[in-house]
Amino acid sequence: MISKLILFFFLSAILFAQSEFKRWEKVEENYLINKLQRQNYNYSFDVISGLQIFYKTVISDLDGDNCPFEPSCSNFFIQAYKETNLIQASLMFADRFMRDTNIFNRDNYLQNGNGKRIDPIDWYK
Amino acid sequence: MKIRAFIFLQIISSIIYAQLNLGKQLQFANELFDSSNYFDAVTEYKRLLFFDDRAEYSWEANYKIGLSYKYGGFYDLAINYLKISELNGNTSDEIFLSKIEIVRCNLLRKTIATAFRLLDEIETDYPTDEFKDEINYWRGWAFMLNNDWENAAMEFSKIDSNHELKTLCMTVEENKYSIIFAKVISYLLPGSGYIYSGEYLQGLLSFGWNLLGGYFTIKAIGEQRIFDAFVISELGWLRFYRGSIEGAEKSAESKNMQIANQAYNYLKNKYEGIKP
Amino acid sequence: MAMEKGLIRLIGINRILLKLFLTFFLIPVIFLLGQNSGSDNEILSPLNLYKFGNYLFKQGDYLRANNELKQYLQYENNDTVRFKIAYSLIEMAEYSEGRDYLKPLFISSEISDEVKCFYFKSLYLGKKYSDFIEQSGIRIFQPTNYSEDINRLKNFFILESETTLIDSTNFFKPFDKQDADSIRKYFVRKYYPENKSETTAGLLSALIPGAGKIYTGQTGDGITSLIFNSVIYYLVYNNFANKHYLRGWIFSALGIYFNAGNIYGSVASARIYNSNLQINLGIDMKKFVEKKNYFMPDMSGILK
Repeated sequence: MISKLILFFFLSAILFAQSEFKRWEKVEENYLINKLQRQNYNYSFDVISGLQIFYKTVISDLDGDNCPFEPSCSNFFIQAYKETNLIQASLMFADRFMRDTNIFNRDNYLQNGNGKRIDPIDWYK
Repeated sequence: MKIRAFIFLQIISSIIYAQLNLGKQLQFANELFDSSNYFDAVTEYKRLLFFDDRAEYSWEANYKIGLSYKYGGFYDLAINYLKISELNGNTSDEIFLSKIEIVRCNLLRKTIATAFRLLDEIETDYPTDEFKDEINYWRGWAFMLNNDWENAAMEFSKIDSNHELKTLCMTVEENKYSIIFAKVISYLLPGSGYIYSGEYLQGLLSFGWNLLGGYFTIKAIGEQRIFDAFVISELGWLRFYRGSIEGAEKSAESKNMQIANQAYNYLKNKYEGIKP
Repeated sequence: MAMEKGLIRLIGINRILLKLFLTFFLIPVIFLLGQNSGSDNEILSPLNLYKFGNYLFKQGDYLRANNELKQYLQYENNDTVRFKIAYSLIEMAEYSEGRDYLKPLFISSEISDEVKCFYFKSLYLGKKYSDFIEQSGIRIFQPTNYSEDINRLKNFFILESETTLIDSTNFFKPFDKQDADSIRKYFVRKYYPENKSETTAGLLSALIPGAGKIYTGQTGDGITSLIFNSVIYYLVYNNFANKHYLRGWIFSALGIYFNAGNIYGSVASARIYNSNLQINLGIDMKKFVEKKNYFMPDMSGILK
């Protein structure tokens, strides 16, 4: 009886671990398996994006998932090109490519759920 | 004597009046619950619990609060209240209901290992045939949600050899690709794993890259350009060889995930039996 | 019989009146006194709304507590309830609505001092810097007994928000010695940070590939950059030495490209280092002020 009482008070104390700060409605159950996928960026139809799609299909998808970063190196370049210019994007890519080959220590990068190191282009613009 | 009887009747009627009040509160809360107004139902059940000094409605109110939170997707909260209802169960049937609901919440929040452990405990506490089918049913669901269709089929066959879900599980198991087979044939012939999974273009491209890489590596060795041979093999041939094995595995996994998700969609939208 | 006679003698009334008395007064009152519903038998009576709302408030179920207490306020005007509603709203990050419930309590309320403190806490949490500074100078907003607490929070908020150097002459006076030492350290970290120079990082990497990254603490990336560029330089030398001029020029171009990338990356790493200093400072300051309970007085008495 005492253990049940202790359990009751313990449960009461942690009862509101999930917070209800807004009214909520019924949610649909979801049984689907959703494995975390690499982000695929949707780009406009131009030469650079076309080259990237070609590279992805013919080379990148076939040589294994070697890039430890998120976004991957090719996606990093495309994003950088869209948000800056070709020269700056090329320099950012060159730096990223060298960091990709770092076999010593990557602890300064946080990891996402997929085990990839988070390295967004915003840090380098 | 008459006065004593009169006083006694007055006290009893006052007690009954107060209980009717809580009875009405329960009825109101149940109406909200039945009309899927779960947030307000939780409020009214909590109100009932607060004013229920004698804990008469303790099991039912806590159980319904747990169910409401479950329907709202708050599985941790749901489990907490269901555990309280289990502690306040008046009969073994009530306790069993609470325990099974906790298992169902664990299935929904994908803590399948916990669900298995709880089902084993329930099986020990309730060894009679009366509860066996239900325990096997939820164990089957646990296997299904754990993507283990073979064991799920076995569990459902214990209930009924022609169980609908057994047929579903066996169909999924038959349609799945063997990841080990895909990897092994990729070791022997790069690209064949892709073709086994139905990715014909990827398979041909992978085979082509491996052929090209192998040709240039061997040519460099033949011409005594060892450093070049090392660079070509490391950055070219071996990269695509490893990629072929990894890609075959991922391709088979991806196909299996699609097959499993089709089954899950069927369970969600078309299956009419009891779901978690 | 004896009991009946005794009661009649005691109360001094006849039998019929006794029955009426018992039916309509004595027994219901005796019963109700034993009930949790207090003085009212209705579960949704104002008193019961208050009791249930209070219970939910103590449980931390602020949304539901709010609904109950707001309904109670329609029947009774109660300062403590109004404060609890405000507290709930602020806990749910509804700062503006919370402050609206606090304002009526500024004047002629027993808890007006605590209310004003909480009001300033909500301005801080809602990051309303200019409102905080402006209203802390207005008399009606100033608590009589807790003005020093508000000053502490105000100075802390200034340190967090102001980008230009602030006058430190009297800045640390509101704080006690231990807190003043901590805040002084944050002051130095904010206005005199140990930044890394982007120019230095770039120049170092231009001289020795990767040196700029080692300077900013990215040792692994720096060594990788050094090895990578060294291999390319070796390939340039090796191919030219062996008269493979085409390959030599290709590797030369790659060498220039990756060296430029290495310099760019070193400059970026210095920028990232400096940003991280400010981010970490913000995190440390946030932890500090939370630990100090925002320099607020203890309000547990009102929240009971």
